[in-house]
Amino acid sequence: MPVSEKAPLAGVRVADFTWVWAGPSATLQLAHLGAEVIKIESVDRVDTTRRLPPYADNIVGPNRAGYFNQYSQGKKSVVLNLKNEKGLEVARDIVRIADVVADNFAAEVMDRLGLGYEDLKKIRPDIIAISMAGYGQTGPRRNYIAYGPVQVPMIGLAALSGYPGRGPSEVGLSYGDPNAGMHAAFAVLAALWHRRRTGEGQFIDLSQWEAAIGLVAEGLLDWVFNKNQPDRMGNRDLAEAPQGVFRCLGDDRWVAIACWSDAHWEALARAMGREDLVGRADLRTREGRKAHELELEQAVADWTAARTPEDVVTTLQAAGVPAYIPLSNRGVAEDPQLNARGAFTEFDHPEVGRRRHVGAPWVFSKSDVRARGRAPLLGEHTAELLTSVLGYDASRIRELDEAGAFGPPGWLSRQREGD
Amino acid sequence: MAGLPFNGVRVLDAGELVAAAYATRLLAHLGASVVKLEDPGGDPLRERPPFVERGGYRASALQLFLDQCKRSVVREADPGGESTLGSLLRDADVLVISGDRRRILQRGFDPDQLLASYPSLIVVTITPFGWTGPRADWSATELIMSAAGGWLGISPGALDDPNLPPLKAFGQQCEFQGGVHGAIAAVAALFAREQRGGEGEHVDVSVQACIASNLEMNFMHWTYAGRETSRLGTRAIGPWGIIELADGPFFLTCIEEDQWQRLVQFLGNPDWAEWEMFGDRLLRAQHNDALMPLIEAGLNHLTCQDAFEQLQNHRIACTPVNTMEMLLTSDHLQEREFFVTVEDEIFGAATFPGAPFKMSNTPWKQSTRAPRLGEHSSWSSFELWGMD
Repeated sequence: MPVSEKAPLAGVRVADFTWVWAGPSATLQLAHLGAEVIKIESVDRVDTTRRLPPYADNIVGPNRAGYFNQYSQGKKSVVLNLKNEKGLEVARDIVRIADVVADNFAAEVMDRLGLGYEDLKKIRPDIIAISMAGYGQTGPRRNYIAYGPVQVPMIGLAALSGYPGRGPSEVGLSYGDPNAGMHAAFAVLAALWHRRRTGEGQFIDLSQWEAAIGLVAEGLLDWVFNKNQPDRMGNRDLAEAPQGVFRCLGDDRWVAIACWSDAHWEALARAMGREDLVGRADLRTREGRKAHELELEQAVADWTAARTPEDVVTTLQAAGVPAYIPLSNRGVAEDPQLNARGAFTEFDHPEVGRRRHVGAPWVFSKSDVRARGRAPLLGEHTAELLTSVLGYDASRIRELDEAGAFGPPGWLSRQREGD
Repeated sequence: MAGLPFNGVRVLDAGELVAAAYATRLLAHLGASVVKLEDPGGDPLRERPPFVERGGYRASALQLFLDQCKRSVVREADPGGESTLGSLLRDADVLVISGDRRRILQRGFDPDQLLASYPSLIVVTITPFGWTGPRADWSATELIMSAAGGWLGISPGALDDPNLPPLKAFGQQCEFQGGVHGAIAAVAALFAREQRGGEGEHVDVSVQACIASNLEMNFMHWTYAGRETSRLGTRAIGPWGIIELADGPFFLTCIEEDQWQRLVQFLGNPDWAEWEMFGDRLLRAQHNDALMPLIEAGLNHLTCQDAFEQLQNHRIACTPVNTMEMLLTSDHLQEREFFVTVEDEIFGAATFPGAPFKMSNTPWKQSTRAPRLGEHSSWSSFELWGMD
């Protein structure tokens, strides 16, 4: 997959020790921007996302998992056994030719492997290393583990989210993961920008917890300034009304509607045929509508109950009122707006065929930014890297293989025979 | 300030609400000069609760957070005002703007026209549906972006009551994600501009697409297995969820088999742990509703803090369901000096979230308070962009 010079990160190489979601989502952004991302994998402990459904056609296999194949688009896969001294030797050689080293292990794992920042710096003094441990590299709980789903309650988002009168809630995603990933991608870009100007690398200690606390600033600062922990309010807004997800005609069909201005409200009331509400003085201000929230929600619910969500959305958007169907995954895949913008990718894949994934979420008018290709098969680029990039000869590779550098001794040669 | 990555980079933030403000916050604290250009009424962000009121003054706490390290200039309606805008745009490297596309155009920010006049400018638009496509002009707010991106429909996930609607996550998460994506895109465009010899471009960030790219494995359940997702679905792995301990709600999950084995051991190897229905993490996910009460019964003699420390010592991923107060008093966050105190002569000294990551050589810049509306309107262009 040749990367054009018009790609922002053309020529940047990432040694990617990350796995599951937070780290891989970070390095995926770098791959979209043109970096060469070399994912270092273990056959002994295969990435969790290769071991979770959905599998293509429900046939289990490490190269058939949609989760992995989404977040590894355009990356290369090299298999190494990091518990083996020869495997570590290869890892150090990869670091030598890399600009960025990324991991999202718990704190100290990279240090224990001899791949902590102090070690990396000796191999490559201007290296940029980013670690994305849940709790960060320092502090009394640095060795605690925190996966993405755990972040939702950790950052306070679970305590703030939920239906009125019910307990704290999950939010349907392991949200801490992609959030950490995006902040990590940004931090790496900042460090690369600094290095281009000064030649200086650095270490980035990203705590997934800290990367997400700012996202609940509305709740946190209400406590700081007013000693108020906001009540869980379902789909309502702190300031505006009416807003909600309303039941429509059909089986389990819903529509999201939000009024965030006087104009939205008037247009909604007119679209519902409720001129009586348009004329009411007590509803002309945001504060007035908020004070009559229940009454207005009931009016909207009565109106949507007899209509399909498609009908409601078409009517309201034509009137300038924010509305959309809460899309399922199928709805996302078929969404006319996302499709028109080329938001999806389809690449030929030797095991799963052409499958639809989500590509880069930004469109650059001049730069070459896009998903670069399909996800790699487990260990697919091992031989290529050893030979073409690291310049190892056949006897060196055989020696490493027999010593168990890649997996169980002889793993690589057995793989290649299988080709 | 020397030594920060974006020292010398000039960013004009003409956005509304959270997305652009968050994107430019990330740039400002790493050294960029950020001028917030507001319409005469001010960024609607200033009217978002929660509010802080002191001595007859009122401010949005969110604005006090997001606009630290920036300067505020009010855009004047007269032709002289436009020339102020012109001089700001001429000197800016990046313009970041967010909101509905139609609104951005009404405010006079057309990326094509801007690039025709200022060819080296990088114009980053962060809009709900993106700049092109049949629905580019549709209206949206936070809730609508969550719906369109495919998040709302699957939230909260594994819901036990089908009469409850899809549930929005608290706050303005889609706006924040649009913001961090906008920051990534802005810096990527700086790299690309340098490679092109200084020619700018339009970077079009669709919040809908950002959210759709963050759906974990949900999207592929359709494209790989033909399974449509909803908020009523099952979890991916079990055990997973919130239980009630002696003094409050507590979350735990076992992603890997060895973690489950250690949890079973911690619970004293109860008989039910051997039941076939809990045989592996996928089966446990299917029977999570039966499993969680059993785990709860085994742990609810403990306080959240005790369970947290003891289970984490067994390498099991768990946490108390933190309240705002618990975050602010966390010994771990305090030792890492995550929170920062920012002085404001009207609203006093207050605690804010600090850097989202720690860079060893180019640390996050110490915060200065957010500007009042138009506080720097009278400043010269040189002073506005001045390196402090």
